[in-house]
Amino acid sequence: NTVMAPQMTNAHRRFLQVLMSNGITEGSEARKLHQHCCETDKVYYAHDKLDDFISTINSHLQPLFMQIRKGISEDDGRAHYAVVNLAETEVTKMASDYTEIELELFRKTMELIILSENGFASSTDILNLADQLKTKKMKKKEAEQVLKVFVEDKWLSEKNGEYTLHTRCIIEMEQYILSNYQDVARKCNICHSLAIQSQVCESCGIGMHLPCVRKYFRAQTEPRCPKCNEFWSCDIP
Amino acid sequence: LPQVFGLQLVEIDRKRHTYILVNNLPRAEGEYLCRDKEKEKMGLLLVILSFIFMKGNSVKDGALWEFLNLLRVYPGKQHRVFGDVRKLVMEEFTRQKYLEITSIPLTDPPEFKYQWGPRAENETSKKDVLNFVAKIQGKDPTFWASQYSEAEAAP
Repeated sequence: NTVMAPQMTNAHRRFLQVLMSNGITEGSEARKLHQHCCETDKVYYAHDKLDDFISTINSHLQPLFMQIRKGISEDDGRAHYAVVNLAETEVTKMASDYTEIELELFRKTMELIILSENGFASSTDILNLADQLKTKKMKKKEAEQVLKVFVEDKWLSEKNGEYTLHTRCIIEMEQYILSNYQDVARKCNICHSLAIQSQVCESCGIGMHLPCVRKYFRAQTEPRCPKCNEFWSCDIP
Repeated sequence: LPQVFGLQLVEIDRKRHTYILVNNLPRAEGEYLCRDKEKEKMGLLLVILSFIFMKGNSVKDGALWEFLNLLRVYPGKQHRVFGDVRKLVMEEFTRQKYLEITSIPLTDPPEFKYQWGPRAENETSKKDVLNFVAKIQGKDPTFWASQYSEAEAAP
């Protein structure tokens, strides 16, 4: 039995517009936005019913192959929302904002990050990639500028000269990465989502997100691997 | 588009089939809808659109820059907020269809004139712009009789 999906109101539309404009929106910001939209468009505001509000929008986005998806940040464990493209073609969301050569650099950078041990690619390594692009060689200065734009647009995150995938990118590309990098992409042992940055057990090789590690070991006196029970060698964040 | 996103597709050039997306939703207060330097750029744009309207819908580039110089915005100088202002006005705003530049024929050196672009006409109105000017100058919009009747007559 299907129930008629609730109608979209201007509050839903405004919420969607802002979400799309932001690229990625943090949980508490999304809750404030929910309230703001309901108040502005004089729609009944059900406090704490953000997920229902989003479901309504999603039921209308589904036939358009889009969704508002929730993802957890690998840095602080906080929930974030992003509008994603469900059509499973490579990097389609970014396709119209960047040139072909920029997209190629991004694809190669993403690959470097996925294949890395700690989920980071150094700026030196990425600049070397720029030199080997198939489409056309990119000069170092140009590549630096493109990286800057990727960070501004929240596809990449930079820390101490090293780059990793931004939460926005992970939310958008998770399915693509899990299917195309099946053998190398790591899944967190606790929450079972894609893990780009992770701590790995030295004995059995399972990986966990840093916030997941923090949560899991909080209640334990002695940190031990949930799978093989060996002593957890990494520093607990 | 209007149903799900609250946006409308408007054709601004029938010959070249150019379209823009216009927001259907009533304008809201607050900081939500602005990214990066959008708000500041829109502020500058509004001032430029106002100047053009108040001066009879068309201004020569010389006059526009003279006016902007009074606001300490110079074409040759890098601005603290706007950066390369000449590029912003002549390229970005015109590419986005907020402004339209046409060259004035038979001028040497070539001169240009600025008018509102089709996006400006869709996103704001002469009435809104006149009210903005009136607010800044602390006067009633009817103070400018000819602009007022033009704004009232506009669709």
